[in-house]
Amino acid sequence: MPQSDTYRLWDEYKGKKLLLVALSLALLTHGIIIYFTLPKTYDAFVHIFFADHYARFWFEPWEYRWYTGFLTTSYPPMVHQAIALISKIFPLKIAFSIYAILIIELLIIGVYRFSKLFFDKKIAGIAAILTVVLSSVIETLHVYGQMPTLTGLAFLLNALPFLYQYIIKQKLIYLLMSLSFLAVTVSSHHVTAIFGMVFFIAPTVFMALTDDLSNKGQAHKLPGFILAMIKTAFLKKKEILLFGILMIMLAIGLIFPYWYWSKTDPITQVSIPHGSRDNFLTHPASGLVFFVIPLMLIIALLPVISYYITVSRRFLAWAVSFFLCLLLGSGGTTPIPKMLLGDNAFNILTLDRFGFWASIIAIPFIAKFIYTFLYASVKEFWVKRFNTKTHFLLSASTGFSYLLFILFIFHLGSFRPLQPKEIDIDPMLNFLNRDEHMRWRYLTLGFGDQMAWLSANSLASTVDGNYHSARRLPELTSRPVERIENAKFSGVEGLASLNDFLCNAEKYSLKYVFSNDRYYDPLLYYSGWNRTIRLENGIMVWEKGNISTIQPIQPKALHPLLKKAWGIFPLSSLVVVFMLTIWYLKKFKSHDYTDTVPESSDKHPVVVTYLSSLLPLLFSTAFLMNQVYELLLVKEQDSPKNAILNYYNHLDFQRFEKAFHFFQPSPTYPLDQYLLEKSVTDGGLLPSYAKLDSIHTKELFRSKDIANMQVYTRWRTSLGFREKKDTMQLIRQDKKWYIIPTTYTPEIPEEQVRSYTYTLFKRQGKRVISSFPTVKDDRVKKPFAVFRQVNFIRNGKDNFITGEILNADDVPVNFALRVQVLFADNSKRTYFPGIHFQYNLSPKASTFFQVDLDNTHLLDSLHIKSVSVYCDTDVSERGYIHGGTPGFSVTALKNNRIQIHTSLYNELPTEINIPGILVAEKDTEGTIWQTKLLLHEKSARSGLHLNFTHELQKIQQKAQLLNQIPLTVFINGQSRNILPLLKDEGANKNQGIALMSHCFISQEIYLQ
Amino acid sequence: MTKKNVYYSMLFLFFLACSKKEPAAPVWLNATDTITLPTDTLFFSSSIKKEWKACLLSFVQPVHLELKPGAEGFIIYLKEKTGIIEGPAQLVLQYNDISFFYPIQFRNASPGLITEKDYRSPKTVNPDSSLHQHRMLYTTDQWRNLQLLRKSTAFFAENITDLTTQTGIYPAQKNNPVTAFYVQPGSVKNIQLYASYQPSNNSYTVETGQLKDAYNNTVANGTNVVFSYWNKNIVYKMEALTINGKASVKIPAAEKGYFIAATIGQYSSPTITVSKPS
Repeated sequence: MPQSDTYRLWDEYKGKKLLLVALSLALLTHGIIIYFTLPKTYDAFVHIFFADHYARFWFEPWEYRWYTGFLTTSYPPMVHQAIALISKIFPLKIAFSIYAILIIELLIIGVYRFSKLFFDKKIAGIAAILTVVLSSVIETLHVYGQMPTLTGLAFLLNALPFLYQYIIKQKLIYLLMSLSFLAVTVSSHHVTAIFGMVFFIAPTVFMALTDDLSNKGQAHKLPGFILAMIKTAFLKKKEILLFGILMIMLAIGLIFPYWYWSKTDPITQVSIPHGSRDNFLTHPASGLVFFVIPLMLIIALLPVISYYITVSRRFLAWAVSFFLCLLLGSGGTTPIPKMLLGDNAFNILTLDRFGFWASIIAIPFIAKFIYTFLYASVKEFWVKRFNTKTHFLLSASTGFSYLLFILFIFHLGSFRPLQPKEIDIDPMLNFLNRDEHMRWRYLTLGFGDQMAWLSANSLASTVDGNYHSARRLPELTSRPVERIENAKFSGVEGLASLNDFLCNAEKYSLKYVFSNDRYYDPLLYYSGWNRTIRLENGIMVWEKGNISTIQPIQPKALHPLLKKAWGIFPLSSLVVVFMLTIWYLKKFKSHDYTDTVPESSDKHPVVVTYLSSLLPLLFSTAFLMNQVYELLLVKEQDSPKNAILNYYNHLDFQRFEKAFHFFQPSPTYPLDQYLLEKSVTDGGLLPSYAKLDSIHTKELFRSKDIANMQVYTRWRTSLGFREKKDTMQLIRQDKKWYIIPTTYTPEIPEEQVRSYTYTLFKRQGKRVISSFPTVKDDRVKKPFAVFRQVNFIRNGKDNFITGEILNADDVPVNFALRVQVLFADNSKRTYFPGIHFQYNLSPKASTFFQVDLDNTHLLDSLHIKSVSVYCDTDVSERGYIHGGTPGFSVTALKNNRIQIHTSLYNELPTEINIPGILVAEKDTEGTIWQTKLLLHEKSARSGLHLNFTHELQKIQQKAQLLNQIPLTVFINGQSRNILPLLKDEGANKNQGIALMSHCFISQEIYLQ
Repeated sequence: MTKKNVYYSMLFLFFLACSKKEPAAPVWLNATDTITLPTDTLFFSSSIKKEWKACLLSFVQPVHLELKPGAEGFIIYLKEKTGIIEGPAQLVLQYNDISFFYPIQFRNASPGLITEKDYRSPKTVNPDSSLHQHRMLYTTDQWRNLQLLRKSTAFFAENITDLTTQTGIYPAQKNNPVTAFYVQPGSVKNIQLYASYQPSNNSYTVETGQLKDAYNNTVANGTNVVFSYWNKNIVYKMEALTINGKASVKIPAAEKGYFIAATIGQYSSPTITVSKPS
C-alpha cells in the first residue's frame, strides 16, 4: 500500500473518532443542559404546544385554543408530530428534550458529512466538534429553541453529500437518498427548504459540476471555465432536471395542505418588528443578540474564511452563498437586504436565520483553519517565527476565552433574562378545570412564552397565541404587536391592542385574565375587570362579569383527504429516510465515497495567518471584558447627567439599595431613612405601575462641585404615557456626583388608629354538588338598574354616547354596557365603554359613562338609523368600593378650558394607589356632554389629603346633542324608559362639573 | 371451454346459492300498547330463536334488553330495567342487519320518590317594581316523569299570587331552601341627617336616621349613601354604605363648618349645617 494511502486511512479513522468525540461531547453538554434552558427559550413552548395538538388531535388540523381557532396546516408538522409521538411515552418537556438531543446529534453527523465535501475526514471531524461549541448553534438551540430550523438543517446537510454524489456518479440510489433526506427538511421547516435550495443545494450542484470538470483533467482560465461549466451542466441536465422536478413535487406534495392554506388564507397582517431587522449600529443590543453572539467566531475568522472560500473555484458558489447570507443576516444595518428580499419578505422574515446559515457554511473552513493552526502550516509558522511556547499560549488562551464566551451564551437566558421566571401552571389548570371555567376564554399577561406551555396543558382556549402567522383577529393583525400577553413591550400599539380585547371582552367570550405583571393592573381595573383570587403561584385572576360563554365557531373547511395526508405524509418521510438509510448502509455504502473531493492546500498569506490567529482571542476576550466592565466597572457617577440617568435606571428596575447609593452619604440619611421616606412618598401610578420610557436632563446650574439638573421623564403605563418634570441638586464628593435628598415633611394625621366600616356581599349559591350544568333553582336574578340619562353627542369628528346609570337594586351590581348602532343598510356596529365608566356599583349608587363611537365621517357615510344602548347586570361581590372622598373646586380658564382642583381625602385605612376622579361635564339642565377619567400619578396615604389639578376642555359650546336619532335603552334585554332629566345644582355651582371618586386600591381586601 | 373456466363458473354458481334467507317479523304473543318496567316479560314467536337482539328506543335513551330463546321463539325480560324517562318508544328487534319496530309506550312500575315543584317567578321582588309572583306547580317522580298533582287531575297548576310588603325570605315549600323567594326593601323614602362635632378626634360625625322604604322596611345593608359637604370654597363627596338601616361618616372638622346633605339614588336629604362649637 502506498504511504499516502496509509495516511489517508489513518485520517479517515481519525475523522470518525473525532465524530464520535463530537457526538459524546454534545450529549454531555447540550444533552444535560437542554431540559433546563428549554423554559427560557423563545420558541420551545410554541413547538411543544403544536406537539400537544397532534398528540390530542392527530388528524384534525383545526386548533381552537388560540386566536379563536386556526389551522395547524400553517406550519409543517413533522417536528411536532415526532415530539407528539415521543410524548405518548414521556411528558411533553422531556419528549421535546429527547427530540432536541437526537436532532443535535443528527446535525453534528450532517456537518461531518457536509464538511467531507470540502476537505478530508479529519477536518470533517474537527468540524463536527466545532458544531458542538459553535455559538450560532448554541443560541439557536438554547436561546431560541428553534427545533424545526435545526431539524430542517440537519437533514439538509445530510442530503447534500448524496446530491453531490448523484451529480457526479449519476447513480439513482444517491438521488433517492438525497430526496428522502430533503423530504424531511420540507416536512420540518418550509423556510429552510426554500432558502436551502438557494444557499445550500445550488452551491453543492455547482461544486459537483466543478469537481466533475476537474476530474476530467481539464484546466481552464476563467472564461474557459465558465464555458466548460455550462457545458458540464448541459451534459448533466438530465440529473439536474430530474432532481429539480422531483424536489419540487416533494416540496408541494408532502406539505400540500400548507401551500393550500397559504394560498387560500394569505398573511395580511401588519409586520411585527423584530430585532434582527434593526440597524445594528444604532441598535447595538439587537446587533449583539442577532449578529455578534452567533457570528463571533465567523467574524473573527473572516479573513481566513474569505481566503479559503475564494481561493478555489469549487467553492465559488459557496462564497456567493456565504457572503449573501452574511449580508442578509446583518438586518437593517445596510439597505441591501431590503433591496434583495423586497419590502414584503424583509418585513416577514426574521433575518438572523441567514446569519445562522452563513455560520454553517463557514464551519468546514473554520475547521480547516483550526487544523492548520493546531497541527499544520499555521502552527509551523508560529513556531518558526516565535517558539512552541508562544504557539501553545496563543492556542490555550484562545481556546479558553472562547469556551468562556460559550459558557456565557449557554447562560445568556440567565444573564439577560428573555423570559419571566418559571411559573407553576398547576394552580391555573385547576382553576380552568373547575366550575366550568373552560366555557370562557382566558388571557395571560406577563407570562412570556410560557403562555404556550399553559395552553399545551389545558383544553381551555385563549384569545392570544404565540404563532403570529396564524393570527386573523383584526385586533391583532392590524397592529405590529407580537402577542397581547407582552403588550407592554409593543408600546402604544400593544396597549391599544390589549385595551381592545379587555374592553370588547364580550366579543371573544374573554372572561378570565391571569396576570403575572402588576403593570397591567390599572388598565384591567379601569376597563371593568375585577380581581377574583390570587392563586397559590402568585398569579392574580381577574374576571369580567356578564360575559357570554364561547359560541361554537365553524372550523375552516379542509378536505378530509388533506387532513389524512397532513397526518400521514410528513411523518412518513422520517420513517422512510430511516429505513432507506439502513438499507443504504447495508447495501450501497462505498469506502471511496469521497474520492472525488480534491485535496486542498494549507498555505495562507501571512496577513491572513496573523489576523486569523489573533482575532478570535482578541474578539472573545474583548467581549468578555466588555461584559465584566458593564457588570462591575461602569462609572455611574462620573458626571451629574450619568448619576441621574443611572439613578433612574436603578429606580426603574426597583434596585432601591443601589439607587440609595446615589444620594449624598450622610449619617442622618441612612438606607432606612430613604426607604421609609420612599414608602410614604413613592407609591402610585408612576412609581409602581410604569416603566421608564425615556429620560432627558437639562443642566440648570453647574459649578465645580454643585449642579442643578432638570429631569424630564416619560413613563409608559398601561393607561398611556405620562410625563414628569423634576429638579435635582447634585454635589461632587470624591470624584463622584451625588444627589442631595430633598427634605420631606409628611402630613401627620391626628388619629392614632383608623377605622372604617363597610358591608361585604357574598352571592350565596344553592347549587347541588353535581357536575350537571346549573339548574334553574341556582340562578340569581338579574339585578335592577335604570338609566338616568343617555345622550348622543357629536364633537367635531368625535362621536360618543354619554349618560348616567343607577344601580336600583339592593345588591352590588356589575354592569356590561354596550352601544349598538344600526345603519341604513341594516348593518350594525357594537361599541363598548373604555375607562370612562364605573363598572361596579354598590346598591343605589350611580355612575357617569361615555362610550366612544366611530368618527363622524364613517358614521355619516353609513347613515345612522337608530342607536340602542344595552345594559346587562349581574350580582357583583367585588368592585363597589371606589375609595376616597374627593373635594373639588373649578376655575374657568380661557377658551372654555377649566381647571379642576381636587383635594382627595383618604378616609380608608389603606393607601389609595391610584387616586382618580370620574368627571362629567353637564349643562344647566343636567345633560352630560362628556365623561372623563382623570388620574393622579401619586398615591394617597390613609387618613391624609392629596391635592392635584387637572385641566379639561369643555365641549358643550361647540358640540351637538343629536336628539334626532332614535335612541332606545335596554336593561337585561328588556326595553326600558329613561328617567326624567334632573338639574344638578351642585354641578351648576361648579362650572357644570360633577365628579365622583374612581380610585384603584391594590389591597385585595378592598375587593376591586 | 377450458377446465379453469368451468371451475370459475361453478364457483360463481356456489356464491349465488349462498344467499341468506330473510327472517319473518316475530309475532308478539302478549302484545300490549304499554310496557311496564321492570315487571313485564315479552313473548315472541319466531322460526329463528337465537341471534336476536332487543332494544327499547325512547326519545332520550336506548334501553338494551335481555333476550332468551323460548319454546315458540324467544322471550324478552325487562328485569333490572328501572328508573326510565317514560313516554313513547319503539321496541326494536334486530336480527343481523334486519330490524323490526314495534311502537309502544313505556312506564315505570313504581314512581319512586315523588317531588312537588313550586316555581315562583320572579324569585326576588322589590316594592319599587312589583309585589306579584307567577307561580307554577307540578309533580315529578324519582326519574323526573311528570305525575298528576295531588288531589287533582291536572299535571300543572299556575296562578298569580300577591306577596306581602314585608321584607323577608319566604320558602314556597317547607324545609326546602331551594324554593325560597325573597321580598327585598325598596328605595328609601325619607332621609334624616344628624351631625355633631367630636372634639376627641376633631371631626364631625354625620349619621342618617333609620332609612326605610315606603312600606316601613329598613333599606338593604350596603346601600350607598353619598354625603356631600361643602363650604364656599370646596365640595366634598364622601360615600358610606348602610348597616342596619343607618350610615354614618366622620368628616375632618373645618374651622368654618360645612353644609351637609346625603343622597341615596334619586332621593336627597334636607341640607344641614355643622360647625365647631365656639
